[in-house]
Formats: sequence, C-alpha cells, structure tokens
Amino acid sequence: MMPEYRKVSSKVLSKLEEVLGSENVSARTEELLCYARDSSIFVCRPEVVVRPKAAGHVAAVMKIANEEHIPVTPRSGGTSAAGSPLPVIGGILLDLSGMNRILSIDLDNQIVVTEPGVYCDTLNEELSKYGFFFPPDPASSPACTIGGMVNTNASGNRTIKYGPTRDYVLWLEVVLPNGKIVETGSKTLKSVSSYDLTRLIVGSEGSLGVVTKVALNIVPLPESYSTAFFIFDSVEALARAALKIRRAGMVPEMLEFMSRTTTKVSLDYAGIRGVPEGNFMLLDFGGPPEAVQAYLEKGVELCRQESPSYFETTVDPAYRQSLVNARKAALPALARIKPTTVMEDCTVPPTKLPESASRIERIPEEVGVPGFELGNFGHIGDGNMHPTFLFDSRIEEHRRAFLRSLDILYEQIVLPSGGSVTGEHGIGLIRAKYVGIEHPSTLTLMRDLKKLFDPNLILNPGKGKGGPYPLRAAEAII
Amino acid sequence: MTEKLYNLDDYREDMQRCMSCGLCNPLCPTAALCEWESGSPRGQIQLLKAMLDGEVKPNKYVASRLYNCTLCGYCLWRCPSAVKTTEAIKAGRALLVEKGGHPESLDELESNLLKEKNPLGLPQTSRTDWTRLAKSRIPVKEKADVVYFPGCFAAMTEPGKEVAVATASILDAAGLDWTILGDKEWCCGDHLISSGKVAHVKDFVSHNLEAVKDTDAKTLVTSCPRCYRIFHREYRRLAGEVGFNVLHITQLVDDLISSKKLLPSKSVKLAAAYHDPCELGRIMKVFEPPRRILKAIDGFELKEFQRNRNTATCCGAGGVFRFTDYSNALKLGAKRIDESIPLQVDAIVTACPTCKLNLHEAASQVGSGVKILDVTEIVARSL
Repeated sequence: MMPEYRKVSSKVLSKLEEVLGSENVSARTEELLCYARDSSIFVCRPEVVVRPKAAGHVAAVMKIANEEHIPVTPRSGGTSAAGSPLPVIGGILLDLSGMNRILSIDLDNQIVVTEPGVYCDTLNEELSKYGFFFPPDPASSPACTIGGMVNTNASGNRTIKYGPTRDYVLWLEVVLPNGKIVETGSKTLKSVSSYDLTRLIVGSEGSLGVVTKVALNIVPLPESYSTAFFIFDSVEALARAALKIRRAGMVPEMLEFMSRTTTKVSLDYAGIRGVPEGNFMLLDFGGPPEAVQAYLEKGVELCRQESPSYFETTVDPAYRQSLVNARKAALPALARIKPTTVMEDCTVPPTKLPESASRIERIPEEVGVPGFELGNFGHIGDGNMHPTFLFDSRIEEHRRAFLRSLDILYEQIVLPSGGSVTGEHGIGLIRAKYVGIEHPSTLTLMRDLKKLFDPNLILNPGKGKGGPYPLRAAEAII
Repeated sequence: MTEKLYNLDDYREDMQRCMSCGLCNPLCPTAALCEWESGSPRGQIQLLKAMLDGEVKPNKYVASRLYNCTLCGYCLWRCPSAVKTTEAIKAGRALLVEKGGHPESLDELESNLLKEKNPLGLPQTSRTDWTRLAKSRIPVKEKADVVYFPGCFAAMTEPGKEVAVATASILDAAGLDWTILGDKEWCCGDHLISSGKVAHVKDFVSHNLEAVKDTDAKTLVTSCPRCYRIFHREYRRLAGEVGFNVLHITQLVDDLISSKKLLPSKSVKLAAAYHDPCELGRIMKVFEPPRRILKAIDGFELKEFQRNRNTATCCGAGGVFRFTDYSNALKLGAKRIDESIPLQVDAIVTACPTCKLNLHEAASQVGSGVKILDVTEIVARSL
C-alpha cells in the first residue's frame, strides 16, 4: 500500500530555507517545470527544488522530510531514460548537481573520491592527464553524473571488457532517509569485512539512501586502439557475427550495434559520409599496438563470414572517435525522426540475440499503427539492446501503440528468452510493472528491504525495485 | 513581417523533439553561472515551451533565464536531435519584449540603435573616427569593387579600431578597389535580433543593403563575425538574395595570400593561441582560413586551446550578454584567458572585434599580461 504523504507546506519551506539558505530553495513554477523532465516520456513536477552543497545539507533535508512524511527524489544529471529522478508524487526534488567536486585522485592506490554531481566525462578528462580512466562508458557520459551512474549501476560501450559501475565502487557515503550519514565498504581494493551494502546501494535508483560521496577504483587507459566497423543487411547476421567474436574468446573494448534507421541518423550527425545504408557494428580492441592489430584481423575475418556489405578498419584516433561519437549519439539522433523518442533497455542472453533482435525489429509491424516506428541500437557484445520507439505522444493511438509495444518487448520477447527488463537504466517508472514478472520470488523481500532502510517510504517513492508502486500507473501519466 | 519571422511558435516542434538528454548542458558557458536547471539550454527549452503553452507568463524571472545566454551556439552544434535552441531563445526574447519582462538595459540599447545606429550609444558621426588613425587615407567612394564593413565594434571601440586600421592597410597592400560606407554604415541589426527588439530590424537591413548596392560592389568584407553571419543568413531570410558576395576578412586574406596577391614577408615573432569566435567558427564553420593565415607568417608560433573549433569556449560577449550582464561577460572572458595559461603564450589572437574587446577588458580586470590581438593585426605587421 502506498502511504499517505503530506504536501510541502509554507512551514516546511521555511525549514528548508533555514538549513539551505533561501537562494538554494525554489518553489517557483518556472523552476519546478524544468525539473519535471528527464530523458523519459514522463513529466512529473516537484513541489519544491532544493540544492544541497554538502552531506550535512542532505541530512538536514532528509530529517525534515522524514518527520513531515514528504517524498524526496534525488537527481543530479537528470539524464535518466526511465523516469528514475522524476518526483512522481511531488514533494522535494533534491538537486545534487551542485555537489560536483573531485575530492581526491590517488594514483598509487588507483582510487578517486568524488561527489555525486561530477560528470562522467569530466572525471575521465581529469584522469586522462595521468593515463587513467573510470571505464563504465554510458552514451550519456558527457552529461550523466557519477551519482546517477552509481544509482543505476550504469554501464555502456566498454562494459563487455570492463564490467559495469558496481565493479568499480569501493566505498560510499550515504545519507539514509532518517538523516543519518553512513559509510559503506572500504577505501581498499579488497574487503569482505561487512555485508556488501555498497553493492546494495549501487543500482538502487535512489530508493535506499542518498549517495553523497563515492570512492571509485580507476584503471590505466589502453595504450592504443584498433577499430573496425561493418554494415550488415540484416540484424540477424550482425548478431551472429557478434556471437562469433564472443565464441572465439575475444574481449573487445567495444562491440556495439545500430539498426538501419539508427545508423543513418547517427552517422549523419557525426559527419561520417559515404557509408552504405544498413545495420552498423563497431568492433574495437584496446591494448598494445601489435596485440590489438592481431585481434582486429582475426575479428574482421570472423565477421566477414557473415557477409557484411561493407567494412572499414582504422587506427586513426580521430576517425575512431567519430565512430564512437556516432554510436554515442544514437538516441538523441533518433529524435530527429519523430516528435517523441523513448528508449527502452533490455538484456537477453547473447545466444538469443539474433532471434530477439530480429523480433524486436518487427514490433512496429506487429502493432500496425501508421507513423509508429522503431530504431534499435546497443551493446550487442553483452546482449544489451535499446529498442527506441519513435512516435508522436500527442496522438492517442500512438500512446496506446507505445504501451502495447512495451508489453510485446518485455513480456513476449525479453523475459521468455531468459532476459532481463533492464540492463543498465534501472526500473524507474517505465518498467515498474515488469519487476514482479521477472522476480516473483524476491519481490516481497525487496519491499521488506526497502522498508528496513526507509520505514516511511519517503525516498524516491513509486519507482525501483522495492516499490511502493506508483500511485498512478505509468500508463496514466504518459 | 518581423512578427512572423521571430515567432516562438515556429519552434514548437523543436521543443517537442527535445528529449532533455542534457548533452547541451555541461559545456554551456552560461549554465554554470546560474546553477538552476532553468539557466541551462535544456531548462530554457522547457521554459520556452511553458511560455508558448501559457503555463508561465512572460515575466522578469523568465527573462533572467532566457537572457542568461551568449547565443554562442554550443547547444546548437552539440544537439544530435537538431533542436534549434538559440533560435528559439531569440524568438522567446522577442515575445518577452512584446509582452513585458525583458531587461531594462535593452531599452537603452534599442534607443542607441534607433538614434545613433550603433549599440554602443556613441554618436554616429564618430563611426569613421578610426580612419584618422590609419597611415593612409581611407577611401569613401561612390563606387568600388569591395565594401569594407568594419561593424560597430571594429569602428567604434578602441581595441576594435586597431582591427579596422590593420584591415585598411591589408586592403591597400593587396591593391584592391575598396571603400567604406562612412556614416552610411549602420549596425547590421543583430543586436536588435539578439535582444528581442525586432520591430525595426527590417529598417536596418534595408538601409545597409541599399547603401552597399549603391556602390555596385561585388563583395562585402567585414571584420565582425556577427555582421558576417547576419549578412549571410539573416539578410537573405529577410530580403532574399543580397546581390553581392559576403566574406569575413579572414576568408579574403586567406584567399589573397594563397593567390600571392598579398605577401606577408616580415617576421612576426610571437607565440599565440587562436581563439575561435563563436559566430565565425562554431556557427559559420570558418575554422581554417584564420589558421592558414597565421601559419603563413614567418616567426609566428600558433598554439591551440584545448577547447578549439567546435568546442571553443565563448569569450562571454556573444548576443547581448555584455549589455545585460557585463560582470559575468568579463568573468567568462577571464575563464578563456585562464585556458591560455597552460599554453604559455604571449598573446591570444582572435578574428572578432567584440571578442577582442571583451577578452581585453577581462585581461585588464584579472591583471593578465597576455596580449589580445586580431588576425589582421598580425598580418599588417608582416607586410
């Protein structure tokens, strides 16, 4: 059951202004509407936005909210494609983007400590000066923040080789819903001295606590890269080629794909001309020059067995970067096509990729609504795809087609093939209804766990794994 | 006609298409000044949409956000969804002017423009004062092949006058048949468009077009990237084909050097970083001509900012930001100067009189010894 929440009263506003300063609190409509969006389809307006600058501020806000039974939604970059940082029940929006300092870089121990509002690319730009990097590489890396990455266990283009964010988080400072500040894990490369609360918080979508500091393991940058891209006529052939790379025991830096529709707009955005139309696959190896060249040659040989219509190889860093940029721009580039663009996130076992990818391509045909289209792309190397629906949300028939497509995608394609309804974006609002279908035996346990951390259910309610589920179903607010 | 051309409703589909991915935010020069989401391009789109839908009324608060922008075009370039954010902001400003809420400083700006035909409020009669600083007589002819249109900031500010003087010596050295328009030159009109004071834009367009056409010139060359863009794009939008070529001075000089009509023979010993003006580089895509010119000069050591070309940091003077938020305009200028420190240069060289002015004032304010020069000044020294 959803608890009764209170509204943000003028008394609460005064308390918030007292602890944060009035310049860091706003209930103006002009501000609220700007925080009502992320990259998802939803629009949910908070009652007040607050900008803490330190863990102490966050703690003070949580204490007030907990006493007053007011929901709190944490946010930093606001780039979620799932609605995770949207205040679906109103309440307080905690804008953590101002907590954006890199606190320490310890090269000897290969550990950095940051605040949650640091952009992923800003951290990596700084680390690159020393030859290091933080490997999870979401397509949104210029605009997404470390706090958001921790809370969604973000991954991206390089996950096939390096793993997701959780593999790098060593220690967290977290403000609990009652305002208590705790530390989880240890600032060491190994530790089993506690329950793994760090990993519990990672990926919890801001539902258990507010992350205010993060210690991350960093690793050396590869010495060089060797890159190829291929154009395949069919997405099945592309997926089979990707599977061959895996079966051969190769570990690429990136093994990415874009469907025909996505390829066209993304290459255009990145200024890459002269490539024939078709489904695009990027194969990239990182390491010593001789090794990456040998791997690439073998990789190209394997992929050519699936008869690509076109391929190129390169060791030019600038051209490689253009290819990576094209792939990273896939989602917003698709937004050129239709007024509304909604990205989904699903993972299937790699062996199921050819069949699943092909079936996903046919969803618009199955739904059969004129003007309702699809572009797909993703991390083909680890089975993680982002079917992206292109339509006009102002048209009722399109909205219904979208909701029907979600059911086809998750209930008829992903889950029956042994997949998961989210690989790296989180449950958010959009996938809340599928959690119980994927995890029927642990749903109650997850809800109990949520209550243990957050008895009043004030932290980011309506989303994520532990519920409570939205007062309004996702369908109602699309 | 102006109402139709600067109509926020024209950008409704752009705003609908914006999926709030946030890629425009991190390197936006002014988003960091505001901190609130409403001061970022992504937030500004939401505000514009709300204003269009009547969810918020045009007011001073909205204005404080929509004028928190130098129109540097970073968001425009960065957006994979091709959302025309800066154009929508200009249309939003026009709505603010129409309905109320725009900054009061813009009334003075408009008054200056209507009275003295320049945004600086200086007498129009002083527009040709710079000619007295030139070594040779500056031609004001009835007919010429080339019209040199310095633009208000080259003609009427002290750092700008050095650009105009240098340009005159280059045009003379190349043996071109050229003229200035003298007091017939008016502001190109961009300050009216950028500020939202669009009611009289067409008067400025018509006047300047007529003045240039009267000379039978085949080419108009300007020192100002803003004038360059306006003549290239906005005049065509408002008045159709202009009937003459429009060049930025760096394009003309690059062509003159490569065709051996201009021979920079003297050495200019200077280590300098080239600052891409937003209007010339990111927006009009003129990146290489200024670099080719500087590389052609003996003794000149060209260095690159880490953020160069499409990702170049704005000097802070874009749009009407110097008029609405002068202290932050200089703060942004100081940031660009800071970015030159690791390069260990003697000077920052740019190709825009407004960038030169703002960077010059920012350098003075922070006590930086770095010189701020224009490409034309380097060329003039080499002749």
